[in-house]
Amino acid sequence: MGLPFSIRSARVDDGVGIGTRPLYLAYPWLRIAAGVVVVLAIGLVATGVGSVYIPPLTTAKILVDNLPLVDMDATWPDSWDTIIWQIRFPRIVLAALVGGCLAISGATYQGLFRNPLADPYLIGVSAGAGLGATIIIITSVPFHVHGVGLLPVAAFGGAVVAVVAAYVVARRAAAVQLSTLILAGVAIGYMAAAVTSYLMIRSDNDVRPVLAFLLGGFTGSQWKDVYMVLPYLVPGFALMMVYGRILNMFQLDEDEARQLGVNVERTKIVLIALASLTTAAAVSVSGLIGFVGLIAPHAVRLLWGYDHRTLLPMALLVGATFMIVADLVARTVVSPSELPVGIVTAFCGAPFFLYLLRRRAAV
Amino acid sequence: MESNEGSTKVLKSWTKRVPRAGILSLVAMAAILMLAVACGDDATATPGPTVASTDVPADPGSATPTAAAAAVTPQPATQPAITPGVTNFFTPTAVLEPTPASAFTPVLPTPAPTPTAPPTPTPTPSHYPLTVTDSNGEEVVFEEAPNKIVALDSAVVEFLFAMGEGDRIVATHDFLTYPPEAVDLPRVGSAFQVNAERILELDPDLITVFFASAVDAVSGLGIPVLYIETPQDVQGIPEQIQMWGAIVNNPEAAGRVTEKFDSRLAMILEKLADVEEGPRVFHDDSLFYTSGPDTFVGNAYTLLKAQNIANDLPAPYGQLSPEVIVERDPEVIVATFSNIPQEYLDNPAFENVSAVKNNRIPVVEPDGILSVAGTRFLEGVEWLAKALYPDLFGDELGYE
Repeated sequence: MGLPFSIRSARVDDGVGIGTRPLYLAYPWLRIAAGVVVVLAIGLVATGVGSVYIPPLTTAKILVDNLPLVDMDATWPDSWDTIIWQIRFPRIVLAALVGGCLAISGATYQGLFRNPLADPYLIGVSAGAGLGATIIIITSVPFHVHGVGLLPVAAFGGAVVAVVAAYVVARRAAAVQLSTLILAGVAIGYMAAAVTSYLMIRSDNDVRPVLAFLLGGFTGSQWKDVYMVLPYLVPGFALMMVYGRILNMFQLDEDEARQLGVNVERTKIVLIALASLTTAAAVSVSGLIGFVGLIAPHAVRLLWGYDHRTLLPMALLVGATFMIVADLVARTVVSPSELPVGIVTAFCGAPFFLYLLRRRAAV
Repeated sequence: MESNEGSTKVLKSWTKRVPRAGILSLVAMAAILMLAVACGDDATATPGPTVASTDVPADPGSATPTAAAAAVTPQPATQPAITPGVTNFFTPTAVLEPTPASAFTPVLPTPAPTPTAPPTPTPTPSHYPLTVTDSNGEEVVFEEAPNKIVALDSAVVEFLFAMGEGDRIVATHDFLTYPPEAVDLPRVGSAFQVNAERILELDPDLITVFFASAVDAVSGLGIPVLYIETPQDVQGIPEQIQMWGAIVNNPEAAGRVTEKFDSRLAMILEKLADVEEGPRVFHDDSLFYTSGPDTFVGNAYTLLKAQNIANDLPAPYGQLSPEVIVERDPEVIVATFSNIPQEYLDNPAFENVSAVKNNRIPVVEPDGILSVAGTRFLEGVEWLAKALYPDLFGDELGYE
């Protein structure tokens, strides 16, 4: 993966300077490998559970049958194949990608801004995406043009426009002040949210689809959505992880990082672009799922320490696992009905996070 | 009034001394004061519920509601199949209580065999005071028929216009689209955002709402508020028409409208007499949000003998899991938004669902016939009947 791991990373790194509890950094790749296994296992288990009961063995057979070059004798109804392969599995893959994306982008923002309250929605991505989606849902703009759904396109566009606007405001003399960027992003976010609310309150259409987008969820997700975000997410993840070492230096101070040979301005623009683009892609297919991007990186920090070289991949894996589980709860707890996953992420995630905070306070 | 003049004098003497901003704020304060005074006048002028309720002896006995139910149901014979549902629904939510003035008897369209011949003695003012118990259990007393109604409820607008009493409405809500005669009426906000000043300016004698949260927004204006919930099912609509007929002192018109409503409904149901079990149907309000059996729309499907695949929804309204839709294989998907059919056609998960294979995903048209529990809801029921049973009701929907 080209990650700059070495035995030297076992050195205790208290870059942020909060707490000096022991860090289990001796073999970080083992932890990452274990995380990958956990994500895959939970994903497979989640595929076997849903409103429609399908026996686990049959679920496994259907999955194998759908692998390329494998053809089994189908002893199950066609509808089961559809449910597993066209509904549950793409949905779980997408949940993992979006959860991972929000978590790693959140970790990147938190590292870059050196702000524990930073999340992937901080500088206007969510409000911009929400406005874009609302415009499509509420106004008479068509949903489909030549078979292409405009909703994700508008959400993605809105997110990118909001971040670029914040960036332009914060940029002065070829340098961007990060605190200014946050404030500009927050202001632009409020403005976009105001327009969204205005459109909703003045609409005689049903505003439920807008609310559903604002809460986020994977109901009705398809392979198409997975293919749509993969080109952004996979390279985005890889590049962000490459910046782990530089993010560690950023924790000192911008000037110190510069003295250590980091091209500070380029790092800023690259990381902001990566985190914002991947987040924009994720929200365009899933809506604005809150909490994961804020909490997953903190959970990783609390559990395994502050080194961004392992923090970023672990946040990705923890976010993916958490989102798969949250979506599983969302689609089964009130079966045959569903809940917006954003409700589940916050409701189940917050107590766990509070527990982690308590545990750290006790140490 | 005196206080009002006093404030004007104060204003005049101050204009010589204070700067412009001060004057402006004073003018604004005076305006607010005048508005408050006007509001207070209204409160005293209108017969408040408390005043009238003294006339009404508390009569919790079961005799009165029964009498009322009998009173507002003109010809029980016209709707034999659906009467039980009617009484069941009607009693708990909105009960017409006649005042003990004993004069309410002439008001009733006496069970005349022919509804075309209204009773000649038109209702005398002795019909009033009329007490209506609203859905919150509040008693609203009418000393006379309200002449200036602010109707924040589309259904009431439909009722009154159908009865020819539409000129009693002085304003409606922002999103009213039907009937066409009502579209030009002033708008005073929505259920979420009521423009109280605009309402006060119109000086109405009744505000009617169907949305519980809107009650608080308008209850402080000193104007009687009548809160009547949307009925549980189609059969609840005639009951409400009767109630409004009594309120606006035109039970004959209400009787005519009800008669028409009931007979049209009966015609639909008659055609379905031989249907044992209608098609499996999924009602999609977009994103798989749907109505369970205990909703107004859900009851329409039950009435039409269709098998709503969301009949085990844990809440009255909610999202049905897409995998459940695939498993239960609806034969018809009723879409309430024009973009929904394409969503189904584009999603490979649904390609083996009967409704998608046979392209039976009709879009409710015109928009709103299934969302307002007014007289026009019958058109919605007729539309649904056609969508569900093209063989029985003709295929002029033009499936797309």
